[in-house]
Parts: sequence; C-alpha cells; structure tokens
Amino acid sequence: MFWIVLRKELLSFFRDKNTIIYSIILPIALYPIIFWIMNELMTLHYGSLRDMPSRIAVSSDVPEDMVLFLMKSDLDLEISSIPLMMKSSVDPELKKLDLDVVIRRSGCSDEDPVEVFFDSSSDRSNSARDRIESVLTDYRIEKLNQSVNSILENGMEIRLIDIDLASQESRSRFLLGILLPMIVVIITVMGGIHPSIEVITSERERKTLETTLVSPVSATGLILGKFVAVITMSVLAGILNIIAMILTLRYTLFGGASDNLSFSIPLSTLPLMLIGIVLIAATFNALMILIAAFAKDFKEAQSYVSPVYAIGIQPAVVAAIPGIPFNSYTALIPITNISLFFRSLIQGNIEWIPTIITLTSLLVWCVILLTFARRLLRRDALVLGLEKQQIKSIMFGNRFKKGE
Amino acid sequence: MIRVNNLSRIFFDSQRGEIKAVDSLSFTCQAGEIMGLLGPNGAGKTTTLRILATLLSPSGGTAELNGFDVIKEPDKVRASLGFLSSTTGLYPRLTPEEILKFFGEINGMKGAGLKSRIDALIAEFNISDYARVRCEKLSSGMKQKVSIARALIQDPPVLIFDEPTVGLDVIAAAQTMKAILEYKKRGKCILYSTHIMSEVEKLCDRIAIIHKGTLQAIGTMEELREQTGERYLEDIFFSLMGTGTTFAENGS
Repeated sequence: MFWIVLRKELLSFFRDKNTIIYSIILPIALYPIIFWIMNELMTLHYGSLRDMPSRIAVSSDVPEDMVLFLMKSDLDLEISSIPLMMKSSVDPELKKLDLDVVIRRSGCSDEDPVEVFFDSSSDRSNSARDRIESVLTDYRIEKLNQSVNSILENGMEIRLIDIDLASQESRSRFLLGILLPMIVVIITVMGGIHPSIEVITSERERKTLETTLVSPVSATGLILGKFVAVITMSVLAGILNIIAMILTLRYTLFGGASDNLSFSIPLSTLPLMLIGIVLIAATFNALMILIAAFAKDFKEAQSYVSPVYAIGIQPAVVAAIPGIPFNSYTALIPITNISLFFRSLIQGNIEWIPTIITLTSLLVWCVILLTFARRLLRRDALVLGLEKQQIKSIMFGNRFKKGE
Repeated sequence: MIRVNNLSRIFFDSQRGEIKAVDSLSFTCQAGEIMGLLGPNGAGKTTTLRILATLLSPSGGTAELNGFDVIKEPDKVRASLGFLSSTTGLYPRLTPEEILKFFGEINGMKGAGLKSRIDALIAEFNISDYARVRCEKLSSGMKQKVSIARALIQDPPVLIFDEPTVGLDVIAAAQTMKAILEYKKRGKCILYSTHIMSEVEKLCDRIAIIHKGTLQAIGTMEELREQTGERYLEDIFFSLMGTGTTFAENGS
C-alpha cells in the first residue's frame, strides 16, 4: 500500500510546476546565478580598481628615500609633489587636486611619523591607501635590516615570509565548510515546504483525500507514503544544491580565486552527509505537514508554515560563524547541530561523539513528530481538518464525547 | 445491503456547543434498489454518508454495508463500497487511466485483471479519447465520467452517490443518471443523496427525507403521498419540513 501511495505522490510531484520550481530548479539554478552575478559585479568592480593608478601627493617634508622607494614600486602609483601644508588644508586639497592619498610628516622633527590621509568612503582612495601601506611596510623592513646590519657583524635579514601549511584541499574545505552547511539546511527544508502543504492541505481542499480514504487504504500506509514522497523531494533539493554549490564555487568563485582552490567533499563522508540530509528533511517535513494540516487551504497553510521555516532555519546560520565548535554541547542544539555536523564532514574532521548525539537527537525528534502526526492525522481529522480541541481530544482521549 | 440503526453523530463547536448532525437515523437499502436521501442543506445527509463510508465515526448507533460493520470492519466496508461526490475528487495531475490504476491497486487488484477492468471501464464510459490526458484539463462532464468509473473499479456491491450532478450541465447530469440506473439493473445497492427533487422522482425506488438530522419519512413515492396527502414530491417535502410552503400554495 505504501509503495502505491508513494509512486502516485512522486508522479504528482514531478508533474507539478511549483514543486519542480521549488525542489529542483531553484536549488540548481539559484546559487549559480547569484554567485555568477556577484562574481561578475565584483570582478568588474575590483578589476576596474586594479587597472586604475593611485594618485598620490607627497608633501616636501617626507624623507626623500621614502619617496624614491615609492617611485620604484611595481604598483601603479602616480606620485606628485606638493608643498608643505597644514593638516586642516589636506582635505580640501585632496578634493581640489582629485587625489586619492596625501602623505606628509606629522611634525617638524625627523622623529615624527609619516601620516597617510585618505577617504574611507571612496573605493579608489581605500585601494591607494592599501598600496601605500604595502610599499611602506617593505620600506620599513628594509630600513630595519639596514640598521641591524650596521650594528651586528653577521646581521640577520628580517623579512616576513608567509608559508601557508594548509593544502589546497583543506583551504577549499574550510571555505566550503562555512558556506555549504547553512545553505544545504535552508534548501533541504525549503524543498519540502510545497510538497508538505500539497500532500494533506491541498488534497483536502480538492477533496481527493476524501476519495482516497474511502478506499481500503490504511491510514499508516497513506501517511507514510505521502511522508516519504515529501522527504524524497526535500532530499533531492538538498543533494542538487550541494552539487550546484560545489560546481558554482569551482567555476565562478570571486575574482578567479578558485584557481588556487579545489572544491570537493571527501567521498567517505557522503553516506553520513546523506543520512544527515534525510534526517533533517524528515524532521522538518513532519513538522511542516503537521502545521499545514491545521490550515483550511493552501494559502492559509503557507502563512502558517512560512514563519516556522523562517525561524527554524536561523540556528543553521551558526555554522557560518567561525570559532563555533562542534562538540557534545553544541550537538544538543537542534538545527545548529546538523549544520555544524555538515561543516565537520566537509572539513574532514569527523567528531564521533557529537556526530552520534546529533544524529540520535534528530532521529528522536523525527520519531516524536511522526508519532504525533500519526496520532493526529486520523481519518476524521484528514477529512475535516485539525482544530485545537481535536488535539486535546485525540491526545488525551474522549474523542466521541467531544465529537471532534 | 445497507442497514442503518439509530445512527447518531454529534459535533462539538466551541461557540454553539453540541450539535446533533445526525440523530437516531434508521433505514435499510437492498441490492438492486436505489434509496434516495433527500433533505435541505445541513440536514445531515453528507455526515450520514461519511459515516457509512467510514470517513467519520458515529457517536452512537450502528451501520452495516454488505454485512460489515462500519466501526468493527472498516476495511471490508471500504472494499465493498464505491463512493462518489459532487466534487469528483480526481487527482489533477494524473490521467484517467492512472487514476483507475491507482484505485485498482489500492483495492488489491493487479496485473492482467486490473488492466482488463480498466479497459472495460474506459470503453463503458467512453473515455478512451482522453484516457491519457491529465484530469486538470478535462471538462466537468468528462471528470464526472472518470469519477464514476473510479468508484466502480473494484465492482463494489454498494454505491453511494453524494449530490453527483451538482455543477454538471444537463447532458452530463443525464449521462450520470443513466449510468446509475444501469448499475441498479446490475443489482447494485445504491444510496443517492441529493436535494434535487426531479432526480429523486426519476431514479429512486424509495425515498428517505431527513431534516435536522432526524428521519421525517421513508417509503416509495406512493407511500409518501399516502402519508402526507400531497401529490408532488416537492409538496411532500415541504409538508414534512413543516414550512407550510407547498407546490399548490406558492403556485410555482
């Protein structure tokens, strides 16, 4: 019986325009499109900034060797000299001469530091300031090396050389671990919203539920068939989203940064990830079906389900915050736990105790909600709709006395 | 074939309190008979039919279909029953052929037996032209034909029709009534609920008139005429409702 209902539901879903849009097209197309647009805009923005020279005015009190160092730089700096000026006249001068940065000494003494004036509200000025900082850092290191060498016979060159020990793979997974878990939870849950409303509320509205319930179909078989069909659509949305997200990051990451990264998920973690997706889909969809069952029609169901969705997915955002650990405590927080669990899987650090706690707690929630759904969604309730007093009477007895 | 004894159903409303939708209702309907269930809106017709179809539980009394109790043996009751309402209740994204297959399988049919039954119903109701068109694209008349075929898929001994001609044009309504008469001839026990008097007069062997959940009168047209002293069903109906408005008086 279960298989007959499941087959019918899936056939209906795959022929439903709205379900196809929300469960298949949206997960595949949304993120590539968003990332592509953002990538194009940022490439355009930063690309044009990169190609623009930085217009720098250097006051006559700035040390000459520093100016020479700036002029020798490979960076595209257009350096001009300006006479000594008061601090108060820098801003109007910067605007009048259409400059990005003005450099001057803060006082009259050689000991006084050099000041860099810039406009933080202008991208071009910010870019010029960053370039100056980079060149002056090199200048400072060179000066320091010269001083050390003049004091010590075997002076050691002081230079900062960054050596990133993280592999290309682990850097990619770190980035993926921040983005993917939150989005997978959001999309998996979103993929089940429309089918959750469709299977009970819409069917009751169209009276097809009544027709089916008059047939010798068991209520358990019917609910289970519908439930598994909704989970299937939800899981499909989640899996498609993971694939779409990885491909998107591989091929359209901002500014070509993907050249140095390799986005993939450890194959060995895929079964655990699939279990996580199925459990989050099952738990959320059981809740959605139950809530939607109270509504008289599709629109009312949407207004009930949408706030639950909006609030419910908030804890998933936590995984995107750096420094939140996946441990036995965070594994007890619903939704946050599955999000952190996905992050640990993607980053290849499987923590078994929190993993077991997370999966067990999700399973417990799922069983509780399903049992509740099975108790509530009896034939009477499926036909007439759920009402508050029905919950009381069904959960605590006296069904016929109250008349449901 | 249908035996209803002291059937009651009470609904609870937070504002109006207890509402007796069906109150101590009793009647029987035999094989090869069409029993008309006549009553105004809110008389308790649909609630009675839903109890007989095992969709609702009774608050009191008993009901049997094909010898099976609706509370104790609901699965056997459903297997013996073909139920049709005015809303057709067809899955919009499935084709008539797929709907017949789905309901056949739910009724335990499969393989060649199911295939030949589907083919026979498609031929009988002349729906072959649109058997593979999604139901959402069919007209009301076409949908109703599919619904009747769907209700008959397992060839049940008992048929319940709840206002099956509501929303249909004259031709589709006539075709529906013709099909119902044909199945009466084949020995089916048919319970026909409506508030359209002319349909009841044309179709039904006996008529049960209910009002506010209680049975006002039951019998053949002749027996009802004798009981009320009125000639036309509409007058009989108004007489039993106690409204005082009769066919003769209102001159319609």
